[in-house]
Amino acid sequence: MRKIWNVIINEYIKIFAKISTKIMLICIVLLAVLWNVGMYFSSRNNSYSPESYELDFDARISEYSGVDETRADMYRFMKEIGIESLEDWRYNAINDITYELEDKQAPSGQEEKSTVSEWYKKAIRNNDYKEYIKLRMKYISGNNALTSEERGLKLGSLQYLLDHDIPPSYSDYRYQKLRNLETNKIDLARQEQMPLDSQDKKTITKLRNDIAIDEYTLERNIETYMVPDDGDNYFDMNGFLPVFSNSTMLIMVINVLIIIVAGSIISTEFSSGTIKFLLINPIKRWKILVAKYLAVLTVGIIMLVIYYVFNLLLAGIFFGFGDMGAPLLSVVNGKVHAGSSLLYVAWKYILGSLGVLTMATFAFAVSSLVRNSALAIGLGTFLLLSGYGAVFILASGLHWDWARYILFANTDINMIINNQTPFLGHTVGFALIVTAVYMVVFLLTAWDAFVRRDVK
Amino acid sequence: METILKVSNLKKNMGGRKIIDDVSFETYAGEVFGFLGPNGAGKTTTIKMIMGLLDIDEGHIEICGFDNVCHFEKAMECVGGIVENPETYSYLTGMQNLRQYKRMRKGVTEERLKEVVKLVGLENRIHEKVKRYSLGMRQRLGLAQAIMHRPKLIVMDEPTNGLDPSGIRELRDIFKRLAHEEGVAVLVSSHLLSEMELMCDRVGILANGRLIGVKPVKELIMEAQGNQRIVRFTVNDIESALGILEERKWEPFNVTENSFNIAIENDQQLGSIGIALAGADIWLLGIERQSHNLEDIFIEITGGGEQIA
Repeated sequence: MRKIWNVIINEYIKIFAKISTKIMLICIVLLAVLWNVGMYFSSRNNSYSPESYELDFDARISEYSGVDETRADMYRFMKEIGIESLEDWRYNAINDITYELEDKQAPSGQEEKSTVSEWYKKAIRNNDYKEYIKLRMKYISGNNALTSEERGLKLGSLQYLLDHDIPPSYSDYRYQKLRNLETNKIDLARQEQMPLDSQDKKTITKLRNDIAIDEYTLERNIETYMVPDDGDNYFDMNGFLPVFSNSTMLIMVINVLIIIVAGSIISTEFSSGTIKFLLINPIKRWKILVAKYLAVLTVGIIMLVIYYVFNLLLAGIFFGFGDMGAPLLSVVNGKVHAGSSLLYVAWKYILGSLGVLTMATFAFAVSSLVRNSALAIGLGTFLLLSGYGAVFILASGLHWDWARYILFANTDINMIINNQTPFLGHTVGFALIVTAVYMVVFLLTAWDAFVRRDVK
Repeated sequence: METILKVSNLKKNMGGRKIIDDVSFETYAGEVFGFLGPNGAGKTTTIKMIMGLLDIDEGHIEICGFDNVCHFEKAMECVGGIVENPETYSYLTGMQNLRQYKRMRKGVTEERLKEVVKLVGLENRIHEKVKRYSLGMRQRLGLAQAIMHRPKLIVMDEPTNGLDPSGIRELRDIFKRLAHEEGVAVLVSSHLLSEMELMCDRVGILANGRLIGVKPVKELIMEAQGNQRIVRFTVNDIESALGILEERKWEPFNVTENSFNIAIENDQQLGSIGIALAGADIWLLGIERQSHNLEDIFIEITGGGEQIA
């Protein structure tokens, strides 16, 4: 063991003394910088809002007057009370009542449309959202177009707003959640009323899970959280957590870098002739091979850790560290479990590292087999880059299902978890077994080539 | 005498050709053993098998009593050496290169490293990157690598390659001192007999994968030359000199405008030629024994003239 340890130290000194390794480490840091800066600027572009357009009331009024008087009136009213932001609750309220009063059906049965409209307008003019909510409750409870369930849901969420002093504006996440809950619950009720054989089990489960999480977060006032393995379900796509979590997509680049390290670790000893000085030491060849392999694997892990740490720091700097403690919410059997989002992202990195370690093993075997660093690196990179494409063409284009046994169909565990592979019933367990078989083959190849073949 | 290296009935085939065919020899503590043969005779192949770089098809190699296949680590603890060129990690300094080997061997201290660096004369440049070293400096670094762990057997493949004359002399002195004073067995390969003559105690001659003979180097030279010696005379008047030689029935060869060679049977003959020439008022500008002749002997022995580069 001591000998293997000493050889590992030697390998580390050699790897990190090379300029190419230093450049690689800089590349990893740059990659993290690029990812975060890119996401930061794209988030700023996305937050471009239709505000300037929507709030240019004079232009809107002249656009609609004569064409759609109701809408023109709506903008006149907005101009009159001086709405300055789309996040103002009154903006939503005016929109809502305009559309609802357009409805052909009588709003309440007792009062005339115009009267109801005046009441609403009075509440809005006074900036009194409680009065507005009460009016809406009154209006909804008299609306016979809604089912009793729908009425109950809508009234319930309005009551919640009243009880918790929440203005009905989308700038408040609780209002958003309440609206989500409403629509999800109505959808769910609709699904459940369908005959059993035409129910979509997947949709129902998803609706139930979403409802459970929304209720859980509303109850505990949790604004930011993560849901595992569901890329489009973050509260805010450009917050700290999604940017940090999605940085795993670029682990592919580390695959290429580790191929360069692993592809040269044996072959450069041959091409420089130093192998003759390495193997005349009182250390058996298999020990040197094991030490070199362990060095490659740990360098891969070091690269991942550097990438992880820099992404964590940069995402914090660009998007704020405030969300670092946000929980990870998952639903198991209808119950919500809270975990750590940071640990979850770390887990995603670990899953991503499986691909890195597999590619390292692959390039290591090629390096041992061909004894030529340019060929080992070239072949490794070529197979890595063309492998995913080839699998995709075979599976999606030619419908060859056996392509699932190709290594590259199984190295990206995160993709398999998110159901983004072209194969049906492609499970993580299957991928792990296939990858393990390949790893064993690679290692045996490396072993045979390094331990048994003559050094000429 | 303690046997350090014992090679018995060594055989190696490569690509269907017998590269090494039944080679057996021993080297003892305290001697410099020369491995002599033209390029392609199998010197490097044999050395690579001793160092465990090539598999052995048949036969055994024992180093300090350990079989170098069954007890590889024990055997290799007793060996140091350079195989072919002194390759180094060019992006590391000389000292960093040596520390690589220090970590892989037993009982090498930092003091010992300083000692060997001084011994090979690299102390001024040892902290420089090796890529700036000359071939001779890399050869010295290789030597430091080979001797740092005080091996019982030092194996050097063509060690004088790339060294200047003073470097060759230093190397020769180091080998002789290690062998004669510290009792190390030194195995040196070369295709230059003249070099072997100065460095080695015994020589094994290898040709076409077979060991033709193992002899003390002096005996080898004497035997090959017989009693004849070739002497070159340089004179001021070649015409008169040739006339005198003809009179006495001495046969000169390789005649130039002021010199000629003569094969001499004994010392009396050498003396009488001198007297005869001086008596005819011819100035003897130089009398020297011809050593290039050794190469001819070598080619004659190994029969590998066409293979010499």
